[in-house]
Amino acid sequence: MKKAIAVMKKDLKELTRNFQIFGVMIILPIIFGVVYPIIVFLIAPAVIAESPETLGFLVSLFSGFFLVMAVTIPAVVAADSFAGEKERKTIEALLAAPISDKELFLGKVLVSFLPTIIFTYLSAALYCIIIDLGFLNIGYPYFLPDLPFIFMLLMVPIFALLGIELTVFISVRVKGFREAQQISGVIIIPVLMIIVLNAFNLSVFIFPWNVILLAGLGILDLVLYKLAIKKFGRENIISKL
Amino acid sequence: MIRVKNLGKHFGDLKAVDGISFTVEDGEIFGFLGPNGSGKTTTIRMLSCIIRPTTGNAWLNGYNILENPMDVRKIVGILTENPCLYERLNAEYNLDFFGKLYEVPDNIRPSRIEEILEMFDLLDRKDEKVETFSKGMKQKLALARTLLHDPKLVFLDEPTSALDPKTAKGVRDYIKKLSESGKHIIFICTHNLSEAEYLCDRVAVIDHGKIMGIGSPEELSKDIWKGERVEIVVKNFNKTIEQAMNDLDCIKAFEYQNYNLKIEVNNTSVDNPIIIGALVNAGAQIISVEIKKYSLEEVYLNLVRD
Repeated sequence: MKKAIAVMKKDLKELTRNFQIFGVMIILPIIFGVVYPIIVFLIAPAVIAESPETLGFLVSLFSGFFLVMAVTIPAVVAADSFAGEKERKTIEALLAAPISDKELFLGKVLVSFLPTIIFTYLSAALYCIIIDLGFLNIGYPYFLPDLPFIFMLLMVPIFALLGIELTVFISVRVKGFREAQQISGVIIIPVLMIIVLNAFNLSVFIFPWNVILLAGLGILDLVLYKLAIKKFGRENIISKL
Repeated sequence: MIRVKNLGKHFGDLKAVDGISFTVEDGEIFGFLGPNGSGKTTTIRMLSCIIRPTTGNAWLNGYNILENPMDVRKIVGILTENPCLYERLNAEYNLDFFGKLYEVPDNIRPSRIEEILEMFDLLDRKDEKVETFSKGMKQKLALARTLLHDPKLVFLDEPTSALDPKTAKGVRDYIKKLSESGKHIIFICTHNLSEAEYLCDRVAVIDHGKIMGIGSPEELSKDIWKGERVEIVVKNFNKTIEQAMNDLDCIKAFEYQNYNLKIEVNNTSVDNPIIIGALVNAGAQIISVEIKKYSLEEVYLNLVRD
């Protein structure tokens, strides 16, 4: 575990020195957590005058975008951590070091997972605070987090893991960071489907769909995690150098 | 000690390494020579447990690469063809990270890092990002990382490639110094034959995944040419001298070019007096006599000529 943490810390240090990646990690949470609720708050009086229930719908619709963040950040970070290390030709010394495949994999998963969770939850907290303060100010009866929002937040780690696992599969096969990042972008499709369903009032964040989705994706995560560890062997990585 | 037995690596139909066997003794500097794609790097990767062999096995200080890969990795230091440094991080952090992976104890790691940076004249640059370093400095830092945990076995893949002559000499001198302690085995893959000749006690020449020859350059040349070579500068080579040479049984072959009479014999210490006597009798004016060793380059080119 100590070595996995050393890998995670090293990758984090590298990430903070790469504005291309770190910028995505900072900008997305600001857009979703701060800019968007301010826009909602600014248009709120006009929407209330037209159709008051639309405002609640808008807030609930866009809360789904935190899942977009949950899959986008790990895909970018994992692509840099796994495929980027191959591209920069630094991986061979790491593979020659006395660290097991599992420790190396865990270290690289952690560096993608932890910042995603921290930034997404921080952004969601800001979103809730700004929305609640804004609505309180105009006397609109809506409070976040409501139950669907909490279920959505529960899905964040599950989607983040899915994003990482998919990126690992791709990163082992490709030579460069950009290739890995572009292909792993497909993970955003199921998330957008959830948001669209939400828009048509078919929310998967309410019972029983939330439980089914949570359980289904949880199982898928576990299966993919096992497969990803298997795929993440020194042999597979080095053969694509 | 490194013991390699029938080691092979196949990628589909391609036999990158085809059942090679050899041993390397403690304290030895062993050169692994061969053209591009001959299997050198694949062999190093198998021995340092980055990839698993398809056939055979190897033992490094008693540890088996198939059954004890973690133990093998702990006693091996490897300088790969690329320096493999984290360019966005500083020199000290690069070493500290690998120190943790190689289990250099927390209480001695900082002093060990300082010591090794000092050794490679990099101590005053320890806080600078590696991306600001020259190629030579990066190579020295990579070498420092390779030796940080005081490995018993050191694998060096093209250690002086892309270095200027002065830095390359510095690295060679350090390798020589390192081997003098007798504690390390140094295994060098190189294209630089004069470097191999200067550094290595023994070499193996590999081509198409097979070992074509193994031994000291002298042993290899004796194996190939079954004899020795003497060069005599003769001022007045003529038909009489040529006939005298043809009449000597101890001469295997000779040629004369630009006053230089190149003669192949079985044993120079026995045959030279006979040849010189015959030349003097034939009226040759001898300017100089020199016993010529076959260079490693000649040995190498002979072994991989196909």
